[in-house]
Amino acid sequence: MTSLAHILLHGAERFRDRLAVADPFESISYGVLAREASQLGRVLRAAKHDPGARSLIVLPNSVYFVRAHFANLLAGLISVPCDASLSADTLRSIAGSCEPACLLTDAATLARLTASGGLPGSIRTVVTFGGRAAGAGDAAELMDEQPADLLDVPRDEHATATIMYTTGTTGCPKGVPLTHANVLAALRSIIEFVGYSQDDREVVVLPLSHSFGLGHLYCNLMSGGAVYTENGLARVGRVLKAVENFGATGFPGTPMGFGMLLDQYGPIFAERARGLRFSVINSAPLPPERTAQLRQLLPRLDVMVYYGLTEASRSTFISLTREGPSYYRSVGRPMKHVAVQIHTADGGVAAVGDTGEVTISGPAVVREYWKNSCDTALVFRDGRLHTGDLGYLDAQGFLWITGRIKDIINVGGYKVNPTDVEKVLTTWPGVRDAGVVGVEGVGGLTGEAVIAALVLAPDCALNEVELQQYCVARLEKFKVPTRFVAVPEVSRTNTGKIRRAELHKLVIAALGAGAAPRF
Amino acid sequence: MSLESIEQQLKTIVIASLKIRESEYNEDLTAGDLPQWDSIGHVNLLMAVEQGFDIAFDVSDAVDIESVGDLQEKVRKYVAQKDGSTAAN
Repeated sequence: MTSLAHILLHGAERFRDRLAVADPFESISYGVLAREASQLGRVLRAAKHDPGARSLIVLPNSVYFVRAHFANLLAGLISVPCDASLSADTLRSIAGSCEPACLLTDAATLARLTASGGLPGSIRTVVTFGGRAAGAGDAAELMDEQPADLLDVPRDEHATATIMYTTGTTGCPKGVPLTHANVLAALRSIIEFVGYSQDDREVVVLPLSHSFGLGHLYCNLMSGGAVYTENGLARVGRVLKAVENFGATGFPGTPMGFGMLLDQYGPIFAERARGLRFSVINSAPLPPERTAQLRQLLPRLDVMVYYGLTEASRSTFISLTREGPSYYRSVGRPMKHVAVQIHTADGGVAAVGDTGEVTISGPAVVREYWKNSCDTALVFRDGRLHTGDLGYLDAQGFLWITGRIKDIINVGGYKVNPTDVEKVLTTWPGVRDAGVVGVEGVGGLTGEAVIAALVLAPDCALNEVELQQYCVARLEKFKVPTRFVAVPEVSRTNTGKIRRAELHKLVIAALGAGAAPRF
Repeated sequence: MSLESIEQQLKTIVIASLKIRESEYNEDLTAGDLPQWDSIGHVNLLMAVEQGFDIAFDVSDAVDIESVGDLQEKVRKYVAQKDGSTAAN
């Protein structure tokens, strides 16, 4: 297997009539998925884009998304999956970076992009799913016009397969160009560690546009398993019904998501999730008490966590169930062929037990950011990925993360650069200064929430409703502050940098002791 | 409590909790339709409704509430139960 497209092509050979992917509206077998992705791939090939041209996908989690992604890979295009909830500005910024030749989306998103400044000039092919739109080809109609035989694909495993965009320290989206070899190396290790088989079925509500969610799709399709997917836990009843009715053996998620399920829906979650074999939980540290709760509620569940970045996939992995409570705060041992080192501030390698910056090398690690030499030079040094995270390795080789160098706020796995939010808030009439911090456990929920501290003009009152509306119109939803508090001052250094630790204390005091949600 | 006043109070709570305009309010509005009506927004909304009506949803009811229409139906049921038990006392 040298291409990510082979995941689907091999799956169609071995598991043709087995269910591959389902969403609330349709289900599709390996054979049909491979045929339809090939038909769409032919459409994209026929447009004669240059080899390695980029194709942007802006679709929610759905069978459409999976079809579009594999069509890109089968067409020899670099697939650039994006979260459909991204703002038009962020999508434009991503398009400015990767200069896509194709856009695969739905009519509503196309209308949103067109209305907010038009499509990027590089786009020559637009295909919509789930309905027609002016200026775009309809995916269903285009596929119907193509022959049903499967496409073959180029076999350059070191070619870029996908570009995944992450929000880095600069606040500008950073493209992570993953080669086929990068992803396949990671998938082989994950499948072996987790023990995926064709009997597995996972409910994936994590964004397929992120490596965590997409990785679970790949792992199942490589193993002959099946995935039910939808967007997040907003329709929690439907998701939990799917866990039960789909016969899910796996249910990956974030600590925030599992915290909500445990706190708000515990008895129903326990009843509907009793068939689960494993849950991979990531995107933020899983508090040990949550692990204990999960194990008590679902004694058969294998709770697994890992340490990973889009740039390096899963670098370490651990089964907390197998290792036991003394390892609940560890993120596990390095995966096969992955070298994790701890570097001291002077660049040396730290001794066992000493804390320093976590660095990673191995076949799953990318070499650079897409057309971003500044961040590449900062992060990829001496053949290693410098993560910006602090941690140590113990004598048994387990990695323990102790903090992070950066100021990024982690909202259920979504990374929020506080500067992005502050820029918007300071354009609100009446706001003289703004500082944004991440606060744990707001409203009793697990994980960090974005909280805005505002210095208001004397004649201006704090209006949380209007401020939230203002932010919703200008930011991705995960960046919109959960709460706004008025403060007398946002303390800054001489160079103008916000003293975030100080601001954090001020915000905690202003928030006061909030009652935990009861139901 | 009349059905009309239940509807009006629920509308006020939903608009305030989801921070939407009155024109956006309708019974087909569903979790996931708005950026702010995500999983956390959903929990906050149900808590606000419980507080506003002084009722407590059973988890088995709460888990299947997905839309404004579902909320209307459940609130009517719980308020009727509460009014019935108050009257009985």
